[in-house]
Amino acid sequence: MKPMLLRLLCLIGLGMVLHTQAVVAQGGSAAQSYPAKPVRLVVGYSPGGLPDTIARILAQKLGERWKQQVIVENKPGANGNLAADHIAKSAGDGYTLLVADSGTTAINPFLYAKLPFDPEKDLIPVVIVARAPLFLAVHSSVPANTFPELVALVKSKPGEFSYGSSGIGSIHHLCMEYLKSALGMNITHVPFKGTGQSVPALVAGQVPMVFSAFPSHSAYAKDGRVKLLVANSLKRSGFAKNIPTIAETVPGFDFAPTIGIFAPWERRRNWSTRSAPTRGRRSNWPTR
Amino acid sequence: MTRKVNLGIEAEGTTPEEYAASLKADAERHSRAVKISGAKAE
Repeated sequence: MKPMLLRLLCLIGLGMVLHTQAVVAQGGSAAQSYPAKPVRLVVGYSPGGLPDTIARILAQKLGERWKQQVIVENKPGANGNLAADHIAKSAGDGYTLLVADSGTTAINPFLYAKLPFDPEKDLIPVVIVARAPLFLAVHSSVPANTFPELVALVKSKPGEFSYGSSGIGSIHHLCMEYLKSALGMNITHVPFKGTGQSVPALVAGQVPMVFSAFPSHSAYAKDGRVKLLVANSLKRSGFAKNIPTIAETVPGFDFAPTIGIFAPWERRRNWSTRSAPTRGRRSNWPTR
Repeated sequence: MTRKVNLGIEAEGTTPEEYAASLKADAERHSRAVKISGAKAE
């Protein structure tokens, strides 16, 4: 298997889409050598988070491939809305792109009464780069070793259990509320300010369960302080094949966040995506 | 593989049409989840 970095290097589909956008923006000729100038990847969060980390890997590998500078620019604020609005108002020439998680485009429109941009009209989805499934971990003292056992336990003691999340409106919160509704569970929400607080609270036994990304839990699962019961993706993760999915109990359940690339929708105003030469082409991920 | 485990991600590659379809499905789920939760941005 080729390592992930090589897979990122093979984002041929991305290059073709952006090339097409540049062709349209520049009248069909000047974009033959795309990218002819530095490309900016705008991230709506501070450095160090997952979208930022992925953007930096992409920047390095696309820069090597394109022999052109690819710059990561962090524009944190308003749960990614600031960066998305910046992209929405940028030129659709393929040189300014957004690296965003699903929170920005699939949660914020329902969370905020008003957004300064319209995700559907202003942003074109280019490619999903990664999925980052969340794993439900319970404290070692919780007498459940499987997800069905946990559901039965919680249902036998309605209102006696709580869960920690990364805050109101976070994917961690919404995922659990959706799950509670689907299975008729009564669990109290305890919002924290990010997994930097919620996972330590779980490890300390202050809350019995938390949804979080695999790296947040894995060390504690190894030493037995927490138990990883289930993942929120449709399919089991390649790096955690022994952990079942919620979808195995609740068919179709899929709340795994995606991280992808968006371009300004400007081209839609003068060019239909149906005519795009890249239509239907898939990015070349060798291991898919 | 090590990098994927460290980041906790599954690498993907989609067409723009597949991404748009995925976003549409996400939006349906998330809008229902936001409604169920009663969450509002502060």
